[in-house]
Order: sequence, then structure tokens, then C-alpha cells
Amino acid sequence: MSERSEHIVYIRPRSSWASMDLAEFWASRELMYFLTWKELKVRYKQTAIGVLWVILQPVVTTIIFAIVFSNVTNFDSPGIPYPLLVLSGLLLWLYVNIAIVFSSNSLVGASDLVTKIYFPRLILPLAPVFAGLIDLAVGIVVLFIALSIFGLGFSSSMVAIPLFLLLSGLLAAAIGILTAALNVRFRDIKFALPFALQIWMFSSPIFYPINILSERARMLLSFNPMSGIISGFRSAIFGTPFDWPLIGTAAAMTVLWLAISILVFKKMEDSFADYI
Amino acid sequence: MPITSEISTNGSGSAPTAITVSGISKRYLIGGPHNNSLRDAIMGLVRNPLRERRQELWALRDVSFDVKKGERIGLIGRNGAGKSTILKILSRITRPTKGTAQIHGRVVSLLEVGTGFHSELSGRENVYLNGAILGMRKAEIDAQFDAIVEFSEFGRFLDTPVKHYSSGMYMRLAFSVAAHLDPEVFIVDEVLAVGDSAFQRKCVNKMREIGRSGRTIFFVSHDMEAIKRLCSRVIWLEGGRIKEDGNASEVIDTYLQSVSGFTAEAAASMSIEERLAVSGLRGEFDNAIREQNITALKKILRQVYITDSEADAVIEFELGQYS
Repeated sequence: MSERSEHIVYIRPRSSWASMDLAEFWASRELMYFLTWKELKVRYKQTAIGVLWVILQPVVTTIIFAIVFSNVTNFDSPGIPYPLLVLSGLLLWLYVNIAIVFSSNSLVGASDLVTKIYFPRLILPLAPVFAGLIDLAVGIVVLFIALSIFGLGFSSSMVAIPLFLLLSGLLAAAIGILTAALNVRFRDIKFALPFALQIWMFSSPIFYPINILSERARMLLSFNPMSGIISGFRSAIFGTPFDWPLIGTAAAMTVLWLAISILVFKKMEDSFADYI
Repeated sequence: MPITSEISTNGSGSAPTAITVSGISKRYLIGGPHNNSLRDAIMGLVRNPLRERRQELWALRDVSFDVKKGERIGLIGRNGAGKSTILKILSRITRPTKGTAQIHGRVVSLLEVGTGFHSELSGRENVYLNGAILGMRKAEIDAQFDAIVEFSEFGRFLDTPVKHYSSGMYMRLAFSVAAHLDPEVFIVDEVLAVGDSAFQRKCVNKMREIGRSGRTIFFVSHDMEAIKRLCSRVIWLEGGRIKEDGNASEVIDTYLQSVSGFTAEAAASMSIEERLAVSGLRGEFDNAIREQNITALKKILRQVYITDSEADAVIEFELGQYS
């Protein structure tokens, strides 16, 4: 009877411990790919300017901030023109922000799938995180164009860029997974999330360089992983010195959040179909 | 490789087990505070827990059965008997409260045709997306692609977004994807109400073909004729328990007798009006006519021994009268 290697599915009551079936998750990588591809394909369908939205949002915001803040105060940091400071921070922030918004709605928005078909549920909140990487790549091309407009060249520190993209992806995944799971049980997430993201944005060094803050404020901000990620990303782009303690803290916090999120998700996963 | 699965004591026709269900129960908590917001969840902790007790509903109680490899089993019962719950548990969409089950081989469950289809994507794109969601590898979809398209009788609309399709076309394509999955265990719920009657026949034939090739099929429908055509064994659920389990036509006859209150032989000498009156389904029938709910009408008519084609005629007549 073993024309194929026998595969047995065991069905048991909810176990009290969250378990992670990595083999199954790996086996579903093609589904991950298809859902990411669908996410991208569908996102800009029926929009008049399509993928231009990806460029328009950071560029226009950057211009507005550059005009407003150059008249109000001086946020110059050595060697980094203010518009580029804003654009570099904004690109990562928008990636994380948009990925989390789509992720948090990924389970509730796919309730037909969740109640009708079995597959590793973790794929749903992860798809927007992968899909956002494409938008981010477009944004980074725009950033390089802006660099050359401002007469800045390449620096060898740029090899570190992927590290900070990876960290921002992991952070987006962590918060996306957590909010997606909580959203199934507590629709409060829908109201709380935009508000929380706004607070998070202003407590991240997007529109200002982190070194203008007081020692105490910087201490506080280091608990926000976006601080280290944005600071490191800027150092990589502009060749300024890396603040490794800050970056290390951000990496540790990101991994911690990711672990917590996956645990919470796995713990709640079995009852998604009953509550959604 | 499990040794237990090889043991079978069913005489000469012994086949290995495909599904083992042992003592499955499923409890749902209904009523009381819906913990759908954080406030309710917190208040629920603070308040006297005895005051707003949530009601327990046992959708399944201690259900056990074995399915042999290659068996085609029909699951019948009234609404709320637990049919969907058992399918959801076997499909791993929800977990049992008690009991365990084992399924040998790759399972594909089709609880609804077209789940995961996206209206903005083209037919071709949806075949790939839907195939992947149902557990197919891209290579498998590539290999089956032409067969899927041919079965769906589609062809030239394949690159049009599916939102421009009629719902019948859409469903046909969706069923075609599912029919070409090649699973070892196929769990199917009410999906044969797809397309016109010619296509429905094609679907049933395809399912029989799947069944003949040694695949195990677990099938839920209100269409007793389709179950009789497809299944050799029927499990009848009532109130979350197995009421009867055995030969398909015998179980179906007993079931129909219990819902209508008379036997098939008795029905032969009664008019449709009489049958509705005796079975107490007159009220439901009138409601369905008023709501023009064809699915409900067919279901009611089937319960009083009216075949598919007769039902169509009755419905056409009644709706014509009404409008």
C-alpha cells in the first residue's frame, strides 16, 4: 500500500502547548509564494496610477517635511541633507507600517479561507510582509536617484543595507502576526492599530536624527526597535558611524517580539475558525 | 510507517484503513457574553462568572467510525446534526473537544467550491492560486492544467478576470481544479450543486471515477439521489450522534421515512399535497416559495420522495403561480 510514502494526519483536541510544525511550514512555501504574488497583483488593480503610489507617498511626504522643517528648525545632521534623512527613514517606516496594516487584517479578511480550508495559518499574515519588500525595493531605487541628485555617491557601508531590510521585515512580521491573531478575537485591534501606529511613528527617528535627542530620550527610544533599524539603515546609506549598541538592542527586541508573536499566534490558531 | 493501519479484520474484502475516528466530541459555547472585544474579555474576568454562563452546545457526541481505503461514504442528517462539524474536524479547520482521528494519506477537503478564488484575477491565475491553496504543488498544477481547463469547458475566457464570469462558469472552473487534485482522501461538502444539470452529472461521474481509482471519498449532501449514485455506505447523524451506519440505500430510505413520516411505497399512492401535509413540511414549503429559495425547495421536496426532475417541474409551477 505504499505507492507513496504514507502520510498520516493526526487529529487531536487542542494541546496546551503551542507547537510549531516547521516541516509543514516549509512544505507550504509555494503557497506562500502564490499568496504573496496575489497580494501584489491585487493591491494595485483598479487604481488609476497603480504602482506609482509606492513612489508618490514617500516622495510627497518628504517634500512637505523638507519645506516645513527647513523654515522652523534646523535638523541638519553632519553629511546628511534633511530631505534624504526623511526619505530614508520614511521608506523603512512605510514598509513596516503598510505591512502591519495588511497583516493585521489578513486572517479576518480571509475568513472564507480560514473556515473552509486547512493550511498553515501563519502564511496569511506573512504574505503582506513579503509583498511589501517589492514596494520597498522600488522605494530604495528612488532613494538612490535622490542620492545622486544631491551629489552623494556610493559608500562601502552600503553592503550593510540588507541587514536593516531584514530587521525591518522581521519586525513587521512580528507585529503583523500578533495583531492578526488578536484581531480574530478582539476587533478592538481595528481601532487601536492606526492610533498605535501613529504614536509609534512619532517615537521613531523618521523626521529627525536620533542624535538631536537628550540622553534620557534616546535611552527611552532605544526600546523602540525602529530607532536602531532606521539609525543603522542611515549609517549604511550615508557612511556615517554605526551605533552598534542601539542596533544590537533593536535586533534583540525584534527577535523577542517575533518569538512572543509566534507563540501567541500558535496558541490561538486552533480556535480561529470558531471565532472568526 | 504505522503498523496499526494494516490491521483489518473485515473478512475477505479487507482493505487498509483510511480514516479512523474514535470518540470525537465537539463543544461550542454559545450565548452569554461574546468575547469579541477586549472590554468584554476583561469584564468577563471581573464579573461574577456564575451570572452570565455561556451555554454549551455539543455539536458532536462520542462519534466513532472507521473508513476503509477506497470506500465512498455519504454523510446525511438534518441541519444541525453535526455533518459540517465532522467535516471541519476531519479537514483540520477546527479541533475536536474530545477524541482523536487519524487519516492516512493526503487529504483534500472541498467544503465550498471556489473558496480562495479572487475576482480580480484571471481564470488562469485563479487555477494556480486555488490549486496552491488546496495543497497542490506548482509542478502538479502545470501537469494538470490542460485537463482542468478541458474539464471546465472553458477555453477562451481563461485570461479574463473571473469577476466578468457568470457564477456558473466560475463554479465550473473551481470544481475542475478540485477534481484534479489527486488526493488519497477526498472530503466533499454539498459542492455538486454546480452549473447546469449536465455539468452536475459530469461532476458526479468524475467523483465516481475518483472513487473507482481507489480514492477514499467522504461526501455530504442533501441530494439523496447523488449520494445513492456515489456512495456504498451512509452514516446518518442525528443530534451529534451516529443514528445509523450501513448500506447506502437502506439508511437513506430509513432516513427519508423518518423525516417525511411515510415510506417510499406509501408515497407512491399519495399526491404531493398529501405528502407535504403528512410530513408537516407544508409551512416550510410555503416559506421557501415566498422567498423563492430554490435550494430549500429542492431539499424539502426530496424529503417527501420527489425526484430531481419532478422537483424542477413542481418548483417551476409553484413559482409561476406566485409571480
